[in-house]
Amino acid sequence: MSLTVHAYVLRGAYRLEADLTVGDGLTLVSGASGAGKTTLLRMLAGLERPSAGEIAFDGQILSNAQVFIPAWERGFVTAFQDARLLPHASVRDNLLFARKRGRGAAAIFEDVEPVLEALGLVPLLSRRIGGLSGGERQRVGLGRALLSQARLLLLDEPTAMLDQERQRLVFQLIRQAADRCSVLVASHLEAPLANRVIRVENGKAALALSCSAQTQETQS
Amino acid sequence: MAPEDLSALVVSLKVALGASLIAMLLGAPVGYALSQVRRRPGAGLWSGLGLEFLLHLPVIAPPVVVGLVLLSTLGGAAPLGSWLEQNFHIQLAFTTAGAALAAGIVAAPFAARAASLSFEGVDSTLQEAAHASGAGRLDTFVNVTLPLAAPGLIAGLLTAFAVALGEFGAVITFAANIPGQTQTLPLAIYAALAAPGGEERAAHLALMAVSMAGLAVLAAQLLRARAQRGFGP
Repeated sequence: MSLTVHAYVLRGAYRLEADLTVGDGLTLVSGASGAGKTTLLRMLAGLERPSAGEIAFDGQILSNAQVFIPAWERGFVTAFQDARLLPHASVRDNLLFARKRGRGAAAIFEDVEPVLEALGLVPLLSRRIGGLSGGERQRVGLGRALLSQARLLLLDEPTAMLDQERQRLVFQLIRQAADRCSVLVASHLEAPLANRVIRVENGKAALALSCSAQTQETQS
Repeated sequence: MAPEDLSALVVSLKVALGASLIAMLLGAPVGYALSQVRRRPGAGLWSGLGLEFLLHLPVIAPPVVVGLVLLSTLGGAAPLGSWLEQNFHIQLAFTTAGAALAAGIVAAPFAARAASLSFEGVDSTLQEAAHASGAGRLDTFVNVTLPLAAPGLIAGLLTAFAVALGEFGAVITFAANIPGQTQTLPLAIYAALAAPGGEERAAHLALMAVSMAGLAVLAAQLLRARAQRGFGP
């Protein structure tokens, strides 16, 4: 797959310009807090319409001056930093929300169980959202995305509220997902497993050509 | 309980039930539209003023006027009313259905207000999350927006029920005061007072009317409390 972005969003005095092409695998979106990582992800997801420019996925134009494909028709799934779970549904129904709307595509993880195990969600399945802690909510939100049929996963700070051991397990899971679909992870942490890195700073998002990323790119 | 008192209670319940459904059908779409106008980026203090006016017209206008307007549009002598009667055998003036319609229009603004506030209160980040999980507009409305707004909508339905239960002017003007058909509790109280020595019966009926309205309002309160408890963190 290939995602090509030449676009910018303008919101008042704030401007974020993205000029990049990413391929398969795991892409880390790095940058300081407030640099615009979330805005970049929202722009790709179709939740924020670029002020100008073009976004294309595998040759299909998702957004330009004439075209704007809405978020739900892109086949992308986003996991938000603030989980955003449905309070009237159970943990189980929240987890399956995106999977049930896959429109015939193949699921990233065919089996649900290993994902639930890795995220530690098995004991929570029949719980109400209202009774979950912040970290539990984040894991459910992440599970909702990982269990989907997305062709591109957009994960915004997926490990922000998790302890170190859980972070390790979650990153392993994300790495597995990246073997089956493309994954963009916004995080201010270093991700040694990433195929490439997008650096967001001073209102610009572009590929950072670090050595390790280049090496892995040629290997894959 | 005297049979005619029981009949007034039954008519009241029928009319209020029909009226609250009519109020919801008329009011909820207006309330939804108003919530969307208010939520639009750049919406100011004056946004949705036209809708607000439409919403409040049946409250500001005397209910008798609502009845009069209905009578002059849907009455047997009016073009629309006679057309309905000739083609579909639907007669609204001076019937239970007509009483429900009249009370429903008066109660609609209350349903609309409740709907508008409930829809405005729905967390838009959850709708966004649904879109970002592959749910389209209708899917999101049915599975996210409606369930989140439901407690407020049901509370609005019960408020409309209580308002319809007490409606007098619109009902008596459009549907008259026919015992067993359009004579609701307030109309029966009015009739009892007009008859010599009817004060005691009027007092009985008044007690019934107040209890019914009280129960409806209590149910609405309980529902709101329950919803808050259920959805809270």
